[in-house]
Amino acid sequence: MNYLRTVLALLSVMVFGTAQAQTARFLENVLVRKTDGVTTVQLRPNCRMRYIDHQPAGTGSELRLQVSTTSACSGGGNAAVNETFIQDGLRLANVTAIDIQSWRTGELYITLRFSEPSSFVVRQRAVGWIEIDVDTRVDPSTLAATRPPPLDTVDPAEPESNEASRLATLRARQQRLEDLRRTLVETSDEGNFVVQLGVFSDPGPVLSRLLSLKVADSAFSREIRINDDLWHGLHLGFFATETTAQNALMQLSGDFPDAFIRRIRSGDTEAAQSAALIAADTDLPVAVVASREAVTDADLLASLYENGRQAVLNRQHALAIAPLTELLEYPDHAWRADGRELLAVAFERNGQTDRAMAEYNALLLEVTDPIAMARIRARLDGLEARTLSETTERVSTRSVGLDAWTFDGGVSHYYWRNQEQLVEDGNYLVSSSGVVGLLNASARRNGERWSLLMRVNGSYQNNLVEFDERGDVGWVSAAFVEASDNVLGLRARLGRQNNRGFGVLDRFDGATVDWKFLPGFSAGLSLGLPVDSPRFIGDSSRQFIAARVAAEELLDSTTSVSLFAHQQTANGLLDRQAIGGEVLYRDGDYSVFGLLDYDASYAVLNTALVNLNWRFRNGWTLTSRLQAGARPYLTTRNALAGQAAVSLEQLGDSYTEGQIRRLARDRTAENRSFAMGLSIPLGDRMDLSADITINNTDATVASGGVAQIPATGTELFAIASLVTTNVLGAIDLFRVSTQYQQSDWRTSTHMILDGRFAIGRRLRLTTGLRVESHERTVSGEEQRVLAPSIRLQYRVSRTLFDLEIGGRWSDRDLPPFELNPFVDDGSELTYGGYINAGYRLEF
Amino acid sequence: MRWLGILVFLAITACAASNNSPFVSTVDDQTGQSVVYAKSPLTFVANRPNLSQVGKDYLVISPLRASIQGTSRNYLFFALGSTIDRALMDASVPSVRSIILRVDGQLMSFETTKWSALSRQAPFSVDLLVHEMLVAEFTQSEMALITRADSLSAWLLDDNDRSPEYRLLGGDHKQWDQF
Repeated sequence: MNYLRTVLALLSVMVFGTAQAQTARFLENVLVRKTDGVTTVQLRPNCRMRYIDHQPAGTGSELRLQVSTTSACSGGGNAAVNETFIQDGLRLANVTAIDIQSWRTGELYITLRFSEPSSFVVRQRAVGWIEIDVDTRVDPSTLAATRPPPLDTVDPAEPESNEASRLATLRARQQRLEDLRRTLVETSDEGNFVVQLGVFSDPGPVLSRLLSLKVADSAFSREIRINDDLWHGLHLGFFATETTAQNALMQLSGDFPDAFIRRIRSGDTEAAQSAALIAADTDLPVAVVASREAVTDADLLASLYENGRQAVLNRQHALAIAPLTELLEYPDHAWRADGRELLAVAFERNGQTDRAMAEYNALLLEVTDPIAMARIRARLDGLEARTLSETTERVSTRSVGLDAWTFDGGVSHYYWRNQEQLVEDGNYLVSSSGVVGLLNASARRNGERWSLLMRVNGSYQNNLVEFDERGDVGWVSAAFVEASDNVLGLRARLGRQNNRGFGVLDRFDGATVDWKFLPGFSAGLSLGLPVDSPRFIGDSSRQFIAARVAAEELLDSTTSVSLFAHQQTANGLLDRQAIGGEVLYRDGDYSVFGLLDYDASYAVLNTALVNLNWRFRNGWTLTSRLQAGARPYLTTRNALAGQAAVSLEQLGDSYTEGQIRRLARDRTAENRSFAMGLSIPLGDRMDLSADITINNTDATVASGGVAQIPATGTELFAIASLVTTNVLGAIDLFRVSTQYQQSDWRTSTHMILDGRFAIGRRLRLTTGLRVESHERTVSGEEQRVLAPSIRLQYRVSRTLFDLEIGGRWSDRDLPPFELNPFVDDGSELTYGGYINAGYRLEF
Repeated sequence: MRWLGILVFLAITACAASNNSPFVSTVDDQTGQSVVYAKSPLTFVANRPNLSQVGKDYLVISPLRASIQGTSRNYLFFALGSTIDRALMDASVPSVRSIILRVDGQLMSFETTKWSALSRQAPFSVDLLVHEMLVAEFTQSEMALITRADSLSAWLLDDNDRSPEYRLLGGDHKQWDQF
């Protein structure tokens, strides 16, 4: 019998739905069953209860049951009860929660809170259960949101004397609950609902479609700007509830399958209403329709047409409207299309844009000539764009910072010292030591029309070792001023800069001008003096001029293309004469970049490169690069390699121009390389990446007293890294990396272990260990290296203090032909170390 | 009797299966506020190569129902976390003006409020250094699109409307239709 009872209970759970764990003290279970739109909520008490009353009678947004309980229900404990019962299945009955409250023994209030006004019936079953039938088929908008009176007024009874303090606590808690509940209500705006039809880069055609659908609601557009992309979110509204919005959504689902309902805040509603593209509750203008009897009097129709036409020609547009309207009220005549077009023009020029658009839309249905249709569409597009721009300007509340200077940059100083020592020798050999100061700064001002940018990147190094022949040196890698005219689309940059997009190979001192002459199209000119190193200033012995045209946002904004021509001279000789271009294609998860650089004077391909970047849905990223061309880039100055002469002018003393160009060609090898990388996220906090590069460079040709540089053969580089974060702390980081390099000359393997730990908020400790193994193929020499390091970084406000110390132990097996008087067993042991100490101040 | 035992076993198995809800419900003992959220929230990730090679910014999203005294509201809960060491670089955490979800071809924008306006306690634990918790109310229509979506990504727009794209890393939004 017990078995049978258990089975019946379990089966009832299966039939009626889920009964979750949060059963309140007075309720053993709450079961929910839905049949034909009526949901039954069955309250099963833990103790004996008797239904007394309920409020309100049959409909409302809350239902309060008053029941009496036996003393067994209180369990001998406190009579005051305030419990909440929540269960997912209750949503079938539109019930969000059930509150159980009691202020004295024997009386209990059970309140069902509905998500929307509902119709219900309450009854008590003989077994003691209380059942509430909720009819979910009834439209909630037709029901009153009646609530029972507040519980305090229902039960004003004095607390029982022995529970005064407990009840006071309970009431304080009740107040806290009320406060929280109020917060919940206040933070959820009472807002309206709108239907978002979609987001469009050009909403004009959609607006036309909406006009033709004659929707009864307001339509408005909201800008969604993400980085440099601008979208127009087109909405219909406004609806008091999601249910009413659902009706509009269903009517439009055929035309806008991705439409959905969203909330809009009340403040936004007012702004949107005032700027509606299509106003609700107003008569939409409609085109003139035939409403008179057909006439056979051709003179009458011709007269009406001619009167209207003459008025338009005389720019008396208001006068043209009446005869042309009358003309169109007559059906079936030869002047209808021409007359309607004239009427649309009259409306347009008379400032009645809506009526003009209505006539143009009607005209599109009447004409069949494709040229006329194109003409009408163009006019319609123009009117819609004008309407839209006026509206979106009003809707947009985004302010653009004008005439504000912004500065950023930093300055730093570092001391470093590297030294190494033979273990057997005992004398230190200082390799290098110095102090380097670096400065980078930029100032930017964005104006409504003019924008200015100034940037400088430079450094200065004091060498602290006597044998360094370079002495103290300075670099300037960038120093330019850039001005932009945002109205004309002009941009000019003057100073030291890079500009690979123009085919300029080196950093240069000069000027660049770009002109965006059409949206998405630009042309530019660049000229200047190339510099080999940022340590030097440009000299007039080398000069270049380059031009470029570029088109962006082609093929649905997926493709950009640029072409360049570049010519450079050195000491009066043609140094480089190249043409080429770049293509970038981006489509969702992958992009392809192509680059071509061809020297027309040498008829040599300097570079042909294709880069692929593909991000897969599972988070994997594949990168690939295929490159072929000259190494180094072929310029006539390549002829100086291996020669005693330092300029082409000096080389010209020994060789003719033709011979110099031949030498340049001989110093330049052919190269091919292929690289592929894969990045794989492993879980949330771990990344595995692997890259492989295969490289092959041909031999150069011996000539002019310069020996051949042999071919490299096939070189292989491979690296794999496993990086994980958030292991010991949120920002800790660990990395294990291995590198493998193989060529005809040597094989090397590296293993690197890194770890970064946060010590408090300001201090970071980074430890590293590198283990290397090298084997030189020709000599058979082997070398093993162990290099640990430790780094401390401490930040105070905008200043970062940095200290890094590292060691290096090397064990090298000497080849038989290499003599070292301090080495007697053929193994050379060295150890060394380095220290970097400095600061960086950001501003 | 054997058949009765089998029947009981099947019934228990069915009950166990029925309890496999994709949502978790908790009640704050102090306030009585109950919160229902997804067991498997969505995790989005964005690389910040200018700040860190391996550190990333994260966005965790879950539907959440906050109920107190019968007043119940549905929210999308957003937890913004990071594994980037911004303190070392004196970089500030991103300020978020609005959150945009790309749901297949649609863009959904959410005007958010701080979760702290509703509760002083985090609704659930996120295995991250979380620097911001936000909520935004959603409609059933939005939830229906999200649960059906084959492709999801997000942007956390700052005051200049700029953000990297947060791509979906994990989570199961297909089960959210039961919310």
